[in-house]
Amino acid sequence: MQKPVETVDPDEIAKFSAMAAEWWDPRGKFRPLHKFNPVRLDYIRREVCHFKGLEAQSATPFAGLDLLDIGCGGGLLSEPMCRLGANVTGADASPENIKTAAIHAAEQNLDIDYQATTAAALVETDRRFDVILNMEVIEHVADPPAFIDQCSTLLKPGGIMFLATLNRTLKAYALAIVGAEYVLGWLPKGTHDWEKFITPRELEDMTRASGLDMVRLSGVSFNPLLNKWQRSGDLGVNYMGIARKPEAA
Amino acid sequence: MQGRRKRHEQTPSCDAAAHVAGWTLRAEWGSLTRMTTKAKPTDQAIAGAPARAESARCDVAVLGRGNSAALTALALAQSGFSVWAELVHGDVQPAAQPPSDARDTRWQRVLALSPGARRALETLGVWQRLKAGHAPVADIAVGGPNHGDLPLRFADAKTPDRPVDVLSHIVSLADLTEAIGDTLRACTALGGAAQISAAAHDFNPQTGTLTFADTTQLRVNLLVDASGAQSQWRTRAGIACLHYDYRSHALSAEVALGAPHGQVARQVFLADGPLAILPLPAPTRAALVWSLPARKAAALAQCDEDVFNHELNVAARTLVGPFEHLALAGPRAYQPLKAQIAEAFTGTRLALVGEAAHVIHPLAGQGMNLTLRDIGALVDTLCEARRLGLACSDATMLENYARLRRADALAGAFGTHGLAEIFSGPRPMRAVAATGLRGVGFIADNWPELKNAFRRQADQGLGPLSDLFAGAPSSEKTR
Repeated sequence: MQKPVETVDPDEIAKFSAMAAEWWDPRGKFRPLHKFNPVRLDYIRREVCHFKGLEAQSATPFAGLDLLDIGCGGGLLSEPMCRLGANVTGADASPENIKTAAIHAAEQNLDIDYQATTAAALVETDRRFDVILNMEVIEHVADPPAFIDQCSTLLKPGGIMFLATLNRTLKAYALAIVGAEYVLGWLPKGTHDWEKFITPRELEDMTRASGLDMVRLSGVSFNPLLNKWQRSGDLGVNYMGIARKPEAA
Repeated sequence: MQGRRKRHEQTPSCDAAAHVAGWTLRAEWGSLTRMTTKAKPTDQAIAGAPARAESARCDVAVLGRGNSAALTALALAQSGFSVWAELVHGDVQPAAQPPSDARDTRWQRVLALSPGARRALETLGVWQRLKAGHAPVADIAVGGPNHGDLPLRFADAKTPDRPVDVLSHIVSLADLTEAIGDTLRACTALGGAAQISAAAHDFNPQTGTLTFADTTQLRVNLLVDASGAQSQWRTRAGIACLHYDYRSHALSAEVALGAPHGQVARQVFLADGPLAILPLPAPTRAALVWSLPARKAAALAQCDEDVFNHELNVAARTLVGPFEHLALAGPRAYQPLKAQIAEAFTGTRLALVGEAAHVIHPLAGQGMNLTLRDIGALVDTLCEARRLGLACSDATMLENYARLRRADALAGAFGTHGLAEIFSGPRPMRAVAATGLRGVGFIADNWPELKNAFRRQADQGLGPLSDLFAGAPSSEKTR
């Protein structure tokens, strides 16, 4: 088997490592992500229960699921997944992020397998997952199609992958870069590179090319009146999707 | 200030014992962790994580020894959170001895609980333990100092055939406090948490470590401060309060009426301040709540009963008509009237509940209703956090709680505050206000939706209905 291409972009990793310690400061640089968390957790909980036929009323509906949080950062998603019962592997190319995440999880008394590794390296192991969270990561990787391919390989047959990213639209440039980074100061300048944003069409093509079916696409918009993020039909800026790997033929 | 001084006094005598106590407790921690293990134990070594001593853990610690703290602890424990409550597990000081003649003072201080608050207390199992009964209020008559000012009535005058809607329930504070105590003792869900025989001393919001005077430590996800208006924890968290001193006192006592009250609560706005007569379970008994300038309150609380009765009948002359005569029927008490609201209802790993967050004018008896709405919103917030896999201390979820509650508390505070202020203002103001009230009364009489909106706000407050107020059994909630 050919050695997988390394899809990590070293400049992006260095940028996020510098911010590592601030992951868990709800008033710090990652405040937007903290505010964004409930809407995507609600989506993940609902859809995993739906696709995996799990008991939605359970305290730990994800018990027994092997879940990979790729590009886990400080563990903002890994920790909730662990509390919902999943066997969580949190992978991030930045050792600083992994260190922050591991220290925080230990403080929370949560057992999460954090690894400073990449999708390419995980493909080489025999670890395969029921659910992969690929949230706000793809716009930061060097080779998105290869990265999606590696993630597809990491899914068990019948497994599902959550994808969240930013659309390459003028509106996204206005809101996510000019608005969030320069006007509102929600995100550090340079967090996002508009050229790396991905349209839903491109995402669908990539997942199909990797043998996955895109089964859901949903927009996420900020409601300034309620001061919270909500799901919406508008895929123009932030959006999430679910790609499923067919059961083994 | 007083608390800080006390701590300094205790320190020298505690130090030696603390060392010993620290060791004995550490030996017992193994058995204490039982209650905390909702999360999986960290038996797997995590790269980069420092080795740390295992200390007892729980989801929420509730500080305070009053009714707010007790109700918060009950509600959280019944929703499946592991709770350490200061008033259950802490260094409990013996409660103040009830006065020897408890029967006489039972109706000295009363609360007006909204129907939603009643449902919340039923859900918590407190309402069923009330022993002294309760008086439903079917109508409220509000007016100014002159005969023509009465009445704005709240019940729907246009449809007298409709079954009577209960606007609120008058209960005895002493009785409610006892019922809450009984419920707390019967709550097995609160029995499993760590017993710590020292006072809570310090909290580190970064790590969630609650340290006790004997150096014992408890790891908590969220600290709920329900320790009342003078909260030290709120001050330490750097949260300031807006204060308002009404420069008056509320005189309260049970009074006898010459005729049945007919389940109507009556309020008159006088120049000195508002006077309210609230129905009690006995048809010819009522609870008097009378705001007065401090000196006058003190004088009236101590004067002869005949003098008091005369003053009362003069002050309440617009109310006296239907009753012929009001007469004192129990001991009198008075307390200063103050209002305050915390500038923030949450901090890092901190949520304020009850009077730690807001103290309002007791005119409308809304304090306990606001507190129960705090508790309902807090339980909903934490249940939603748990459903999403978030920690109880998640800042975004706590922000939601703060946003929900601060608007409601402000509305509660300034609604009653405004009424009281206008009617104790200069005469032209009062005339305008009385006319305004009559206008509102007229509109409300002819537009029942408006009255229902008022009533809904008084019952459930602003914002969405919490599960506690909807009366949802906690077992149905997603764990």
